[in-house]
Amino acid sequence: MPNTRNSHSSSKSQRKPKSKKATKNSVPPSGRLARWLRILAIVFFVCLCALLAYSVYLNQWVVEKFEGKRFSLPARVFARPMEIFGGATLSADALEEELQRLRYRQVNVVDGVGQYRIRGNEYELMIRPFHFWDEKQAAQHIVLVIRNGRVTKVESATTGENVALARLDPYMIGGIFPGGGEDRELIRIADVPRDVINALIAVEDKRFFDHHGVDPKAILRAVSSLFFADRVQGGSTITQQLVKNFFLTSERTVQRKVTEMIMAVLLEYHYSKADILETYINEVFLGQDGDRAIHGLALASQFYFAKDLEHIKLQEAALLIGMLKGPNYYNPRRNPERALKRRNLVLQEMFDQGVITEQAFASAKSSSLGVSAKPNLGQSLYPAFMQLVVRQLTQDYREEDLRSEGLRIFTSLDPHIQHIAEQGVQRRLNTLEKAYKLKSGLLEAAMVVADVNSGEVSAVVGGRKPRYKGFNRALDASRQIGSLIKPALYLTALEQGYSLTSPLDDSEFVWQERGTEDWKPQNYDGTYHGRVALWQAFANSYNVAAARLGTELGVDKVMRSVQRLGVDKTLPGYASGLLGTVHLTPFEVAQMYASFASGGFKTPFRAIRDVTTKSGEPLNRYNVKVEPVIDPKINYLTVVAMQQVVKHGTAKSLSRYVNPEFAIAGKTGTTDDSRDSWFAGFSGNLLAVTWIGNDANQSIRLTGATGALTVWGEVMQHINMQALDLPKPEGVVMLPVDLQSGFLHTENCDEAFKLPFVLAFLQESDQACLNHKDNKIKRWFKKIFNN
Amino acid sequence: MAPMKKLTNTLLLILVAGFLISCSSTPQHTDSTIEMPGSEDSTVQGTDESDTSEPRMENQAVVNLLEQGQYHARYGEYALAKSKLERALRIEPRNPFIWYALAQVNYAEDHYAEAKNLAHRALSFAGSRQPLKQKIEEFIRSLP
Repeated sequence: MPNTRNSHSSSKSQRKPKSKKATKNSVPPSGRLARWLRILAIVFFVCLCALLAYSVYLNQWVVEKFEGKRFSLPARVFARPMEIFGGATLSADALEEELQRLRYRQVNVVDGVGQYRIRGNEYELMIRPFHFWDEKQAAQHIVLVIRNGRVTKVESATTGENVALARLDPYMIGGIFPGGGEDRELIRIADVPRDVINALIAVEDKRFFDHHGVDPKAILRAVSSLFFADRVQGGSTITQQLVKNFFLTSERTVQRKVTEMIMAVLLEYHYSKADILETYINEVFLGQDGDRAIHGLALASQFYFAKDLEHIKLQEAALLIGMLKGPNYYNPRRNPERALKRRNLVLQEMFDQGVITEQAFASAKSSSLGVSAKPNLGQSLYPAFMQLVVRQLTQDYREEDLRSEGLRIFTSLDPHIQHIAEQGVQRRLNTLEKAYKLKSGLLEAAMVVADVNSGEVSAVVGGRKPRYKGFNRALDASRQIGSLIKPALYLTALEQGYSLTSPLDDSEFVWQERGTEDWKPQNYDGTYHGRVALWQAFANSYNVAAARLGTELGVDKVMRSVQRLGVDKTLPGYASGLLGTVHLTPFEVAQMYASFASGGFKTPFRAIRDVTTKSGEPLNRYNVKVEPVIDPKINYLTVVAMQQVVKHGTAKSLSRYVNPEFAIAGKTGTTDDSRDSWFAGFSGNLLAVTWIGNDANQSIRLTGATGALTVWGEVMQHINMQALDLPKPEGVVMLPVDLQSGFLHTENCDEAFKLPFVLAFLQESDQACLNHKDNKIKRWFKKIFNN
Repeated sequence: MAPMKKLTNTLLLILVAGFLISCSSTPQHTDSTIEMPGSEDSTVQGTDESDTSEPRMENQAVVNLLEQGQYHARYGEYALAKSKLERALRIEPRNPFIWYALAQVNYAEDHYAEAKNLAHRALSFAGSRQPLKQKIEEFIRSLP
């Protein structure tokens, strides 16, 4: 470096200053003029050069920006598609609700996609074509019959042939938007109806096909409109408007105007009129939907008319084009009269310019605005579920790609379950606050619903205000779980050879550990129950028996069981952790219970099924994953014990909501000072976890049974559940148990109440009823019929 | 060697998938009949069913999806195959044949750990279907 500096300085020292000879001679007038002209020429030349250089720079910029990615397209997120097949559980209400959600139109004659007709219990519908991950599904015209909540027949409406499986197009539940909430749908110019283009040209730039980016006549006209403000058209050409929207800010300066004109000419030089028109049509802003900005005529058509742009009518085209002048000012939903006037002005202009006939003009002018009900397509439709989706996606995708590449995300959200859950949570919290005279708004809640076999998440409620996008309690509220930890504790015991009738000691217990305070757990009812059967201690959630058992087994062993069940977290090693001072989120609790619900297989929760590019090319799938983490026999015993919680124990009151025949397995949880109220439960197909508490961690004076359980019941009673009927594994036998004492019968073998036992763990003395003659006969019959 | 192994895997898959379709007597759902735990009847779904080798097409949608899964697996389109099988699973989540077919696809992809786990899941739903159980157990034993 010093060398460089030296050489530089030496070259500088060698440079000689240009010597100018001072001429003080007088110049004749003609020479002065010539000199001025020369100066002027130089200035002009310099300006021209600067302009040229600027144009070259702009040229490069215009081409680069126009050639490159023109638009940021938000990722579109879809709910699960509804599957229709013979035998499917589907109520007429649920189908109609889904069709309305998808904005299918009820008609008398089904002659187009997105239409349906009802005749008694028969539904005729034409399913819209849709590009799924696994196939490009064509439109399908079907007839289905629903009887007693089941689909009894599905056939083709045209041929009458049986249809094995049909799938509705999925409901779009939102998008992951670029900055500014820009949302748009793209359309090719070839697919844009003539009426739209005609209206656009007529109103915005009638010499569009004749000029080269700038229209001097239009500029003059615009200037004159300053004095006669009765014209529809402004001074900018469509190309200029595109340049302004696309490349420039909206500041009003001469420099910006000049830049705009140069760029418009450059754009026209490089690209065809069709290219420019297509980009313009996809770029324009047409209104705001909450924090979502509606861009492009294609999306606007869906937003305002619930139909694709290809199918809109003349008057609708005129309305959309008319709105370009001021999308909010002419918003047809908020200002219908203003919008109507503007639309008719556009139609008038089209007629005056001869692009529509008088008949078409008259008919369009006399028609109503035809605006659809406002769709629920905003990004905050199911914010709690969307957060889960985005979290899972950002493990595989860059956030900027999610906001710009137009990815299509197919999720497992079941809007039907989601709605029921949201409403149930709100309703119950209001009722509980009144019934327990709690301060209004004190209670908060969260709920997670998932499919037990696939681990697919069906619904997430993050709080009592489901549209609120802030704190998501289902995913982020890490709270003490209380007795919800007990299934892991009892599982650990059963794995060590305990049985459901093993006697436990529920008498006073003090745990002393060096370096910690003495721990003296209490039962909720404040009494001790002496010698109790394990399943009864579990069902009644006796803390003292559980604490003693847990310390005998080893705290670390129990915590390892919790982790094995799917909780990916460091857990405390101290004894009070056995009674649930462990902090987990409702989502983590659900994941833990899912391992019991799915027969001892850890099934990681998934909210996303597949992802495709914007054109439908498959990107990736999120497959079902299972991992056996509990011996099926032990899991069976644990689940049956959890069923006793609901049948005979702390969750008995669930029968007020859910028919006991569903044999729900569950567990209540209450934390110190009643700060948290939990319930986790599952049927044969669905698992749900509910939590009620207060964000400031105040006491809510509710137990698991009086709070969260009631929310669970309120919601799940309205959802299609299947009875819990876990396959009984080999090596498990059912033996009669005395309901009162809780212990095994060794004499009264005909006792109706039976519990499962692991045959290999049974002692000789416990097997009396196994050899009972009734059992023998049964087994003999079974053997004959099985073979 | 690798392509050779892939080919063997695919052939094996075709054979097994063929087997699945030929005896795709999907297990009878006891979902609608509600049984209580604690009684001896609350046993395995399908325990009391006798094994039958004749095809009993209970749910044509599931049979079709299984066939489609087989078709895609034959052409090495494993992601598509899994997508069809998972769709079938959403219709009949307790059908051991579907779980087993998923295990097969994972095997063809050399995802042995997943294949084993899925086969165990299939086994948990196999009930007393002895031939199927034996097949799955053999499959698990054959895994590297």
